[in-house]
Amino acid sequence: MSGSGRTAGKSPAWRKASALLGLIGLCAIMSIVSDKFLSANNLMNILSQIAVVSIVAAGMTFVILTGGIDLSVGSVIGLAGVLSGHAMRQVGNIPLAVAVCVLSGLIMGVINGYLIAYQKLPAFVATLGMMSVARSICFIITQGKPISIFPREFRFFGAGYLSDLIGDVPVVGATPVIILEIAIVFAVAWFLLAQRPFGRYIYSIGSNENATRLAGIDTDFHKLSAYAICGLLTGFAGLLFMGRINSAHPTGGVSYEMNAIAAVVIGGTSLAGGSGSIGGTLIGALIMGVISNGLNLLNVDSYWQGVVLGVAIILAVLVDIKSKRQNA
Amino acid sequence: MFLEMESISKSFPGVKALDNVALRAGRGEIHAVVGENGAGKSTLMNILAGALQKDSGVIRIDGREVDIPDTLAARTLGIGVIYQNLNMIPDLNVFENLHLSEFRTRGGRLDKRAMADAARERLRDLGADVDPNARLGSLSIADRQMVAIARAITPETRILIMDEPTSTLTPREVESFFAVVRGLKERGVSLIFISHHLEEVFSITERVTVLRDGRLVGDWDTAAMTEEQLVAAMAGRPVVELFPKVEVPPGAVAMEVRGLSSPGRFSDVGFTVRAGEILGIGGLVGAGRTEILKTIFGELPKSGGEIRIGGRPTVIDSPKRAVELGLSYIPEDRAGEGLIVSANLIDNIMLPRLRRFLRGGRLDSRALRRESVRLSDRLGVKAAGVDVKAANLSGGNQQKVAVAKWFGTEPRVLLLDEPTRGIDVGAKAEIYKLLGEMAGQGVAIVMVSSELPELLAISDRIVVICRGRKAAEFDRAGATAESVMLAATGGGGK
Repeated sequence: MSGSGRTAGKSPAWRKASALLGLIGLCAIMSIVSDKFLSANNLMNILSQIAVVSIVAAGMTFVILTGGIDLSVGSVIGLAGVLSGHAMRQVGNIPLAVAVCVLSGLIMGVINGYLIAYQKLPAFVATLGMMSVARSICFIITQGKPISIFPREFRFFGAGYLSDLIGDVPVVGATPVIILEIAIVFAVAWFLLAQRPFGRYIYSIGSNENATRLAGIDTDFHKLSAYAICGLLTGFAGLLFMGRINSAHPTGGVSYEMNAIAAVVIGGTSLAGGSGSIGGTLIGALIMGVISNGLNLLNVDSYWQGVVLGVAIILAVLVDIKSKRQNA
Repeated sequence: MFLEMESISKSFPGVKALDNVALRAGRGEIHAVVGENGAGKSTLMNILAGALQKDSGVIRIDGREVDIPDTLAARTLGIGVIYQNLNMIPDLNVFENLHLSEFRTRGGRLDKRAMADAARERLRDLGADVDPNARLGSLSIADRQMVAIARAITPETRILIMDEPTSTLTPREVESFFAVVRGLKERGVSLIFISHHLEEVFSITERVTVLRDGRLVGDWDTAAMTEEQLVAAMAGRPVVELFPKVEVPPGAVAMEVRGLSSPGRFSDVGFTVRAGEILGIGGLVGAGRTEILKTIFGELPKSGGEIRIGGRPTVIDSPKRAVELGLSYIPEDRAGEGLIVSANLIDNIMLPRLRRFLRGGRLDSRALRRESVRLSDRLGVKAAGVDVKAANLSGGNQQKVAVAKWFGTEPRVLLLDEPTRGIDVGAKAEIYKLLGEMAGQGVAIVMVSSELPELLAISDRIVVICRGRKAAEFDRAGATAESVMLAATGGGGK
C-alpha cells in the first residue's frame, strides 16, 4: 500500500519524482530545440491530445493497482461511442445520448469486474474477451460505416470551450473544456485513492489480496468497483473521443488500451499491483503527449513515434527496477 | 577446523546485520547456529551459500581461503543449502526438481530416464522411498524435505546448511530426518543446523554457535550447556518464564460451534469457548485444524453445522461478516495471509478499522498514525517507527503487528493459527503474555498449535483433532503430552 499519499514508502516517491524529472527534462529539451513548444497554444494542444488517453489511464490505474489489467478499454471507447451515436441519430436527445455513452462504459466495466472478482477469471482473459466482443458489436451496429456529424452541443464534452459555459471571458474562455475534465477526473481519482478507505483497500488488494480479505475487507466488491470505475471513465472518454473527431467510428479507440497501460506504467505504477499513484499516471500521459508533440514539431516521420514511445516505456520500467534493487 | 568464517561483517541500508562474526566447524560435525530472529543467522548462512556478499572477513575451507561470489561457486566448493521454504517447484516432478540446475540431455533432448534413475539412486542413498516421477506437489512435506536434501547433496558436498529443516515435520518424520543427518555426518559432511527448537539442538548437535543482534555471543560444546544457559545466551538475559500463563476466570460462552462440517476437510466438529478462556486445538499437521478456523471465519464454505456467537445463531459467509460479528483471525502464514509485508505498519495495523478514521469524508492520516503508534508501543513492537515495511521486521515483531491489528478492533473471539511458529524464545513469551492480556479483557481465544509444550502450558482446555474429527477434549489439569499425542495420532482419547 506504499505510495498512497502520506504513508508512502521510499521507492515509489522516488519513482514519482523520477517520472516528474523525466517530464521536466523532456519539456526543457523541447523548449530549447523548438521555439513553438512553450506557446500557450501548443501546450493546450498537448493537453487536448492526451485528454482521452489520460482519462482512460486514470481508470486503468485503479485496475492495475489491484494487480489486474483491462485490455477492453479501446473497444469500450468504440462501442460506447457507437451506441451513443446511434442513440443520437435515432432519438436526437443529447442528455440521453450522453448517458448511453457513459453508462454503457460502466456496464461493460461491471461485467468485466463481475467475471474477474466473482467468477475468478484471470483479468487478462475476461477483458480480452470483452475487447473482442465489444469491437465486434461496433461493426454489427454500424455495418462498418461511421456515424458522423453531430450537433455542436453534443460535441461539447470533447470539442467545447469554456466560453460555451461562461461566455467570452478573455483568455479563460478560450480554454478547451477537455482540460477542465482532465482536472476533475484526476482530482476525484486522487481523492478516492489517497483520501478514502476505498483507495487503501485497492492498494491492499494489489499487495496481498488474501491478507486483505482476511482483515475483513470485501475484496471482491472492491475489485469489481475498480473495473466499474475504469469502464465508467472509459465510457466518458469515449464521449470526448467522439466529440473530438465528430464521428462515432466502429474502429474508434483501437489500441488505446496499450496507450493507457503505457501511461500508467511510465507513471511508475507497478503492473504487479499495490504500488503507484494517480499523479504518476497523469505525468505518464503528459510524457507521452510531449513526446508525440515534440516529434511533430521536429517534423519527425510519424512512423517513428512508436519506436520512441516503446523505448520510453522500457526505460521507465528499467529505472523502476534498478531503483527498487538499490532500495532492497 | 574444516570450515572457518572469521570476522564476517555485513551491512544493509540502515542495519548492521553482522558485526565481526565467526563460525568454526569441524569435518563431520553437526553444528547448531542459534539466536533470536534478527540475530543474523540467515545472513551468515546466505554469505556462506553465496546468496549474499560479505562486506569484510575471511572464509576458509580446509585451510584454504575461498571466495564465494554466487550460489554456483558455493556449489562448486561443495556447499549445499536446504532453505526453510524448500525453494522447489511443486508443478515439476521429483527428478526435474532434483536436476533443475543441471538438466541432462542426450542428442539435444532431455534425458528423462537418466535423470529419473539418478534421482532414484540419490534418494535411495538417503534411505528415502520416493517415486522420482511423482509430481513434487503431491508429496508429503517430509518427502519433499528428502527431495530437497537429495538436491542439496552431491558426491562433492562437504558442507550442508539447513535452515529450520524440521519446522514442518511431525515428530516421527523428524526422527527419520535425523537418521539421514547422522548418515551424512558419517560420510564426513559438516552440517550447519539453524533451529529454534532447542530440544533438537540438544539431541543432535555437537557444537553450538550463538548469535545476538548481529554479534557472536560464543560457541560451545552443546553437551556442556544447559537449556537455561543457551536461552540466556540467545536472549542476552535470563528468560524468567518460557510460558507465562495468566489465570482468568472464564465468563459467558462467547462462541459455540456445533457439528461443523466441510466435505473432504473435516466433519462434525464441535466445541465452546468462553470469554477470557484460551482453548487450544491440538493435532497433527494436516488434521484439518487450519481449515476449521478458516471455516469459522467464513473463508472456507461449510456444508453443515452451526456457529453461535454470544448465544445467537449466525451465518458467516465471508471474513467481512465474521469481523462484523466480532471475530478475528491470525493465520499461520504471516507473509502470505496475515500481513501485507510490502506495506508499512500503519497500513497493516489500521486496515480492519479504516472506516472509523474518516473525518470530513477523508481519512484522518494523523489519527491513523497516532493510533498505530499507540498500538505498536502497547504491544511492544520493536521497529524503527510505524513507516517501516512489515517485511523488514523479524517474525516475532511481525506477529505482534498481526496481533495489534486485531487488538484495536476489540474482538469477541480471536482465532489463532500456530501463533509462535518461527518465532524466537523471547518473542514467544511476549506473545503468550499478550494473549493472556487479551483473555483478561474478556476475549475468547481459540489457538491451533502443533507445539505440545505451548499447547499444554497456555490452554485452559484442549480439543484434539485427528483426521478431520474431534478426537478428544481435555481440561487443563487432565492434559498431558502423552494423552494429547495419543489422541492426535488416533490412538485413544474418549
